[in-house]
Amino acid sequence: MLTLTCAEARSLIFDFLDGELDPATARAVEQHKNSCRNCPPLVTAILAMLAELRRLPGVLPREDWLARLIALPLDPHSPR
Amino acid sequence: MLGDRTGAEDAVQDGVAQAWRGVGQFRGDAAFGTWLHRIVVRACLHHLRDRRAPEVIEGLAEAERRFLDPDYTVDPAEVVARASDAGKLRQALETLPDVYRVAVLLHDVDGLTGAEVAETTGVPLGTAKARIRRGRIALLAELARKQTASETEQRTGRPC
Repeated sequence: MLTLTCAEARSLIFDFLDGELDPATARAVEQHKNSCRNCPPLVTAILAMLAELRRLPGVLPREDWLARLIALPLDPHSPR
Repeated sequence: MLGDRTGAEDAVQDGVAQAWRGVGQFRGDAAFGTWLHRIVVRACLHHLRDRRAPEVIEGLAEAERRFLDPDYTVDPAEVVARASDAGKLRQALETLPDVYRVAVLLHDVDGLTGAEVAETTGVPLGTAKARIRRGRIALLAELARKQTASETEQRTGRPC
């Protein structure tokens, strides 16, 4: 069984959370996470941050934006 | 991505105009939306190049070194409190150098894969993945950072 130090586990943590590790390495990261004092709060915080990023609402353009876009000279042959 | 509405509107307008002018070059290798998204993101990157000086990444390298230190950890409650407020999360994203913020936004907000981030921003896969990783580490550090009294005051208003 592969045993990881904190630095090794942390260098793999984002690939682990993204599901990009092979099963044996993922198990080693999981095992380190279960036996370490400082890594679990870090992982909890990263998971919360990624969840909030996924929920981040988009920014809508102002009402007249589409009208301004349509008014642009969009002739494919016109110079930029 | 650009941090201000007017800049974003201008960049998207430029991107759509470029796509229209170059629509004959669309070969159908990817979905039309993917092709258009790539052009618009590149227009945003072009606006960022116009607007900002070259980034100093020493701070990010330091954040990455600290992240690997076994003694380093963060308070999840502090991170959750700031990240769950969309305004504070956007402010924290704004502190990232442009290329790292763009990589995190494309990957973690828009849901692109690492390979798609690489293709969209025109960099090798290894560079895209390093930017996502460093951007995430720097964002976490910013969200976990204890705010100074003046920062708190600025955001909540001075008590009367």
